[in-house]
Amino acid sequence: MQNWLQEDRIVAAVVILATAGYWTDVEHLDTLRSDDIVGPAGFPAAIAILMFAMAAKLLIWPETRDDWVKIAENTWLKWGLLVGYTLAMPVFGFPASTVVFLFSLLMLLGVAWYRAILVSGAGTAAVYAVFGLLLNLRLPIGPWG
Amino acid sequence: MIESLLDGFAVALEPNHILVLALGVVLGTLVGAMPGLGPSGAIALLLPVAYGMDATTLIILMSAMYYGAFYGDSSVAIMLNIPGDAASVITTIDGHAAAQNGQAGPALATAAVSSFIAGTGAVVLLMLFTEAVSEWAIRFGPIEYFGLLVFGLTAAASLTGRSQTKGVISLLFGLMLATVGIDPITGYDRFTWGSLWLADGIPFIVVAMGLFAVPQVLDTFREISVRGAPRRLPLDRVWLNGRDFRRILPSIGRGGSTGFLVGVLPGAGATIATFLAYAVEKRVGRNPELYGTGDLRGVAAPEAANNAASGGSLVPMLTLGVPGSAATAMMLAGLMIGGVTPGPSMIQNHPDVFWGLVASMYLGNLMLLLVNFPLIPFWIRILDIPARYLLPFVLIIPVIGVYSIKQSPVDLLMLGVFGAIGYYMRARDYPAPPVILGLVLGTMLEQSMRRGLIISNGDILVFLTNGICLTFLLLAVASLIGPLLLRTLFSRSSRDEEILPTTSE
Repeated sequence: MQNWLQEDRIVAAVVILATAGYWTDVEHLDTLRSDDIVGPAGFPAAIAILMFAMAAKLLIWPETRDDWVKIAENTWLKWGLLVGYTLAMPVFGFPASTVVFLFSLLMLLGVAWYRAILVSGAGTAAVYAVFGLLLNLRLPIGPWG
Repeated sequence: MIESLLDGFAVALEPNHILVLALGVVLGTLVGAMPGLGPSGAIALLLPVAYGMDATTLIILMSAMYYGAFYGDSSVAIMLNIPGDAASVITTIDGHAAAQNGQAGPALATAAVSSFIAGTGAVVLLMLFTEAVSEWAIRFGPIEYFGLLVFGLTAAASLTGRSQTKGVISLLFGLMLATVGIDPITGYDRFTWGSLWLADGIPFIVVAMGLFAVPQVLDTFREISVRGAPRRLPLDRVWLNGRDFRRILPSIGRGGSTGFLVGVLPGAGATIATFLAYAVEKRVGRNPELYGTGDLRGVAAPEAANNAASGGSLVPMLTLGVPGSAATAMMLAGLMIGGVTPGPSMIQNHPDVFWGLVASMYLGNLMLLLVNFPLIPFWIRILDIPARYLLPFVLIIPVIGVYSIKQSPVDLLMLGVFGAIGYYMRARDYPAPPVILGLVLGTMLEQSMRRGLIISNGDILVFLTNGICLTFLLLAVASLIGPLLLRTLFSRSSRDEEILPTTSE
């Protein structure tokens, strides 16, 4: 019996839903006044129609095998660490956030704790020296600066 | 002209200027390696010090950093699969694949040699044909650009990977991202849903880092977890051999020519040049199935195009005062700070600056090769560092790069979101380069189309009656249909051979 619930079909359905959301703004743009014949809605409308067509093709003729993509738990955790780092950096500053991020990541990768401390501390200092001081990029110091 | 050039060399070869050249190349390489900075960022860093410099020294330093930044960009793209700039996205395809095959050294050497040859060629063309080329470039209006960009988008068709459907979905995703923000013609908000962050449009660097750097690193982490051992990239060779060099030379010629011709068009930029050069290479080069697997020709062509375009983009800046790219816009600002106004009278009013620049471009290219070539064994030693130590730092660089744009926490969050999308795309064969192409070209394509229709009072046939536009459109059709036709013809003829009776029967 054919398995209808294939991954490509789910992705195609998500793409169709997202494009439908995109289309709602296309319709709103179409009501706005514009001096050029195409207007602000023309080009997005064309892209949306093509996207509907390609997603429909994938929905009807999925391409990937029946097995689902496997994403290791560890990968979610590391991705989560990255997101946490990006949220923490503007608040707690580059040095503190980076040390914590590097330490956590190195521990997850199996590095011994004392090496993780050493590498994260020295590495953060080196990165800050190059990018923050030498290249003068405005990296946040945090509430301690 | 020769006398003026010799005078220019006399200026550029002054000891302090040689020092400035070397310093500029090294600094430019370091800065260019930083995602989010690239050549325009390298020049921008110079602007605060421009006030204290004389125009000649300033232009020499700017051109050295400009070329250095392109090479730094490519090095990181090859070794770490992180494109620092839209123009180096294509280099990641074969460049990083070559690094993974133990060919990091030859790939870096290819980038250096291709950049040198094509960059030098571009300088010669700049010198000889500046006025003629600028006259040709000025004829390019929105209608002609539309044709060029459609042709450029067909290059995306060559980047679709195994699945054309998924490749086109990637391209359309990029085009959709390009429409987010303020409509450039009417000024209306589009697809922002009231968000101030979206009103600025989606930054290229957020998408590029999210779709390239983050998935690359996460995937390598996964391999470390699965294999339970540090993973190192093999290092077979360091240099190019004679056979490699003969193999890449035609690609350098093709890529360099494409790059210069596209680069002279104001606003076209190196990105389109690199995509077109790669597309041409895949169509024309022997054994096209090797592209994408680490073929050095796939590094040579876009790198040659990149550097030739960078030389070409100086033509409109110097002769018309119209910058051809963000980096040349910065250079224009630097020159004006130095008291020099580029434009039609620059050669007459400031011949020392103009010819000093031309001479410094020759020398800058040479300096790039002399400084960076010996550093290749050093660069590839970076790959010797165990991945579990190296990659966490690799993950920090995109974060810094993204933050350096606007210091926006939302940009950082979106990096994580695009990272997740990019990881899934990588796992399920949705190619990332077409997303970048769509994002970078989408706005220009739409503007060209709409401006063309405004000029023609809504007559859509103008795109077919304009000779230059029609030529590009026909080339686009040919490049899409041609390989399909050839494949059909060849498969039919091989089927005919199977069903025809052999003489023994």
